[in-house]
Amino acid sequence: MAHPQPAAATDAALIAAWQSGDEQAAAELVRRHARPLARFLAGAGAPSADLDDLVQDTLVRAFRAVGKFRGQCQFRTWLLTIGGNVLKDAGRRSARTRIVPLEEELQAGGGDPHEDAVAGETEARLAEGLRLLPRLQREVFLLRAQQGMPYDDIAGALGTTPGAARVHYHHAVRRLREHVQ
Amino acid sequence: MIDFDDREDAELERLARALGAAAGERLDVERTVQGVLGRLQAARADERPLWAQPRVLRIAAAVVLIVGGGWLVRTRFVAKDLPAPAAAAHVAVDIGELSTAQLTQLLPALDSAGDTVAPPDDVGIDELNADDLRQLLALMKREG
Repeated sequence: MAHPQPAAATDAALIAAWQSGDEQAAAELVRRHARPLARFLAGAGAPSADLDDLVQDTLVRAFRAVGKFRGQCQFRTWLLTIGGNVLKDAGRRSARTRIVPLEEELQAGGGDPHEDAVAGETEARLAEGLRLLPRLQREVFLLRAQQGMPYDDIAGALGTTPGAARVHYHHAVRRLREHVQ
Repeated sequence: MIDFDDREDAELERLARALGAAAGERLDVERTVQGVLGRLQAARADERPLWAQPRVLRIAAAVVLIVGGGWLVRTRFVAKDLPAPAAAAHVAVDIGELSTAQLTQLLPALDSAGDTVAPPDDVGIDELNADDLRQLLALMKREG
């Protein structure tokens, strides 16, 4: 049964409402987090053509596993790390079903040609550099620099310590700086 | 805030924030909402126990309707038309059409009915009691 949600309902309240069967609560959570999730996935190298599906896959997986969410971090941070897992799984499936040379995959950049043309060369190099990073460094960098999440939150979502998250971030920045220059 | 320590890192921060912005803007959020809700509904339906699956419930409802409807028709219409055992004794026939053997067979049934009321003058076979019929049978035997 649908209940109108107040505009300022917290994510936690919406999650509780969804768990008791309120679909409108799930709809509101999707409206809040779908665009940041799409940005995160695109930054992590999701192909443009698959982005809609990957966003939906991530949200569905998150809602079905929401019982495991213990509030160790913000819902969005948790959702974005699930997005990272979904992207990794999609990459494995894609590797099994089609053979794309590594260089071609990197050059494709995951964006459409128009977007790639508009994006500056530096931005394109950053995107390429991100795809070359180890997954953990890439996700920590995106969560911190793109999404503005605090280290405590990132650590809670990734199951590590804030200090370790900080180290991953600085390694990522150092390597990206080298790649962009 | 991000602790970039020089102008170069600030530029990296700006680029990171812009990364994927166009993809985010292109996303049709309402279509995503519909897609996600549809898939969640389907997933919830799949997770129901077998007896609670909509298809099984529809079949069960159809069986109940057929069996219940059949029972209702049988009790309300068919059974009412069947002759009751007692009604067999009240079949109105002309006494002259019955043979001696038929009348002999009829007597036990009338005995069990236990009707002892004396018949009026103009009565049919169905209104005679056992004694009346015995007398009638004896009379018919005598008359050949």
